[in-house]
Amino acid sequence: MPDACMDQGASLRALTPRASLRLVAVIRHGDPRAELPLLWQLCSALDACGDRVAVLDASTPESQGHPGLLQLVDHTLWLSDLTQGTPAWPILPAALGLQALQHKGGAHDPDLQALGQLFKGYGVIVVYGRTEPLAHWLSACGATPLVAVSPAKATVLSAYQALKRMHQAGLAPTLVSLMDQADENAQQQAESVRQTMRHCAKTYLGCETDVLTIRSDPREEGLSDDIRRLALHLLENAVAICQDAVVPSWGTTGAQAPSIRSH
Amino acid sequence: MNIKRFHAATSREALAKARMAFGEGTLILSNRPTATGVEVVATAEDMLSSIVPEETQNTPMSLRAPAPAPKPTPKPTPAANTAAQKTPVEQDTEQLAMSTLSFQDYVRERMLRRRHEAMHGPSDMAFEQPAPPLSPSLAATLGATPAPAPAVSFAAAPAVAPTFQPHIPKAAPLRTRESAPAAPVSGAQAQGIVHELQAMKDLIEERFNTLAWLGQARQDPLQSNLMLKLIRAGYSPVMARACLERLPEDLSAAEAVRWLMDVLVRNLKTDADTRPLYEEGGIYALVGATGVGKTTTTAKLAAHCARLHGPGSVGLITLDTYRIAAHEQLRSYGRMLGVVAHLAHDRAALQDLLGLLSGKKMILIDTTGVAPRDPRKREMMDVLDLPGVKRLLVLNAGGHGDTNDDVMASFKTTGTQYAVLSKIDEAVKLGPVLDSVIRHQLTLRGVTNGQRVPEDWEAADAGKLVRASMRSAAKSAFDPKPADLSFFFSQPVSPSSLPDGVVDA
Repeated sequence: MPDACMDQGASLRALTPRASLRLVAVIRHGDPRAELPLLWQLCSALDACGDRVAVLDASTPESQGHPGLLQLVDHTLWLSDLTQGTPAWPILPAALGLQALQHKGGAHDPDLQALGQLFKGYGVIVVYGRTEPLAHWLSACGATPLVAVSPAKATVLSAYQALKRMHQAGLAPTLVSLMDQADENAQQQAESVRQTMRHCAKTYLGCETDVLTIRSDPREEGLSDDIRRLALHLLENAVAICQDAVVPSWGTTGAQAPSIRSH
Repeated sequence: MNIKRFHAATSREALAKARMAFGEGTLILSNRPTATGVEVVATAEDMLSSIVPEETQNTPMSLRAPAPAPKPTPKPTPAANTAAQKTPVEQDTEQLAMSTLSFQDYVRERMLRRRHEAMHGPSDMAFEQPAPPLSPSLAATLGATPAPAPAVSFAAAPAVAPTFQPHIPKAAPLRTRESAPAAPVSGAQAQGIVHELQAMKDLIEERFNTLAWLGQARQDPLQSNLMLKLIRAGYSPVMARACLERLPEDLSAAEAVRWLMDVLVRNLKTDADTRPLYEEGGIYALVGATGVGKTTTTAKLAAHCARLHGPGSVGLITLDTYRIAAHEQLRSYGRMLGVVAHLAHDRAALQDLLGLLSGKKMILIDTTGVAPRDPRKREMMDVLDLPGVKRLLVLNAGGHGDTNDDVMASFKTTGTQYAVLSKIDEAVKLGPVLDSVIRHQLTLRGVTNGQRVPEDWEAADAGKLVRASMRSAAKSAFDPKPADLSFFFSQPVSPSSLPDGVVDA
């Protein structure tokens, strides 16, 4: 093997931590018309950051015709078999596979190391699914899921239900109020959603929570600055899965403070 | 009542038609897609005020079209979404269809649409949510043409607006000597004359003092040699004179040199008595002129902190949206450290990020390099004006003395001012920068002596820096000869260049 070229960061590489996979979670609760485009944009932004992205769709079960994570966990298929011909990033059904990982490792210690080994070479895994099956799993991982609230009616209610469920599981999700347009009307709606969620969280759940306002136009092909910022925000709070051990989002382990993390 | 409908192929055309009809006071009541394009219902503002009750005037978008007699709506929240125009059954159908649509199917549809547009050019069909699949399985619909979406005009995705408008800085005004304004009345005129007389008196005194001092210095070869040594090392005549005026008598040559270096060391403030930056922690914004090494210094500090306290102890933010690939450069360093490098475009975004990273031991903020007289500098300083954010001025150690003075004066901040000297290895003379640091009373927190990350970083050692500055270098065309010394002191010294009590000798 030829020697690596010397550059100014040669010594820095000695400090580079072992390649780790980061786990990010996005909750599906009420409005797929807004959630799916947002998920698309987030995956694009994460991909643009230089990380290979894989999506685990926890709302879709695996089957013979649609193999997914379960087949990988059982070693009946290789990842390369499942990722052939995928349009953008590997999107695998994972409802049963995540349960299998949880059973393997235990209720409070899901076998994330196995997940890390299955997705070697990847930088980010995005888990997308409903609150109920994911809440305990995410809580055991120490993840910080993302809950997006669109301006459409009734999503505030479903978002609050998701927030409540996660709060009961000991999670402190990142809440995002979506603006699909840049006009004043959309801003007012987003602000109204933000205030409502904060008020409900404080009054009924007793927790202070902040809601980010993000502009996400599903029709746009390009990525807005808000989306890029949100993607980096998710990376910052991601669970790092190393080969040896799981390192939760930097600072805390287990139950996390809603908005302030101690180091 | 004058409410009109306007049909057009695109929203923009329909709005233009409405604006042509009603002028600048056009009020859009509704905007919905139709089979043939877009339908906009609009009226004039003054018409609305005459027909709509007062409590509903703030929510014009809640009126449904067509509305022969607008009624006050009980709901205060407007619903401008086109989905609001559909019947409940249609909404539920679409909701149900999307709810069964998996992300995989959604991605496939979107990629197909993108490929179609790439082959056939952007179509007029709206790029809305993907139409509900004809069958639960997307595989069955791949061969079929997609359901025709309502023919809403496709508004081309706006290019990401550049976040920075290039600005050509105006030429700096020439510095002119301040002169007292002409007094319009005799009393003020008399006062002006008094001021001028006082200034002339000060000038004459200063000249005589300088001549006396030069004469004394010439008579004392030791002082003369020390002065020459300081000037050749790059120190300013102001500093040289301030030090040597206080030189004790009856010192030998070696003792005099040692005394002089002790004075310089004592006046050069460093953080020798405190912990290094990366152990102390905090929020630091690295500021400075262009090309001084802010980003590389940021990476060095981050690496040292990560080495001691782990990658989770460091937060990296860049405000540099101007330099090409600035964020990418910091992200590359961050990737090597296992740290996410964030980008903030404005003060609000910076505040959000500081909140997100509040648990970190050290947060480093890389900024855009700006010239001291660049109008953007004020804007950048305002963004950094947040509680807890300390500024770290990065100075090129090889810079000219006047340039360093200009930089320090323009990046001056309240409270203790910290600095880092960069490119020590490239500087031929350290005298000019140390001279400026002493006169501006900055506190040095470290020096960088190379490009390697992270090893080319050292703690600021005053003794080492002063010794390096006084080391004899090779002959230079810029070095004065003994006979030239009088020219250095022939101009009066500005009283503001060295505040009283700055040099502790």
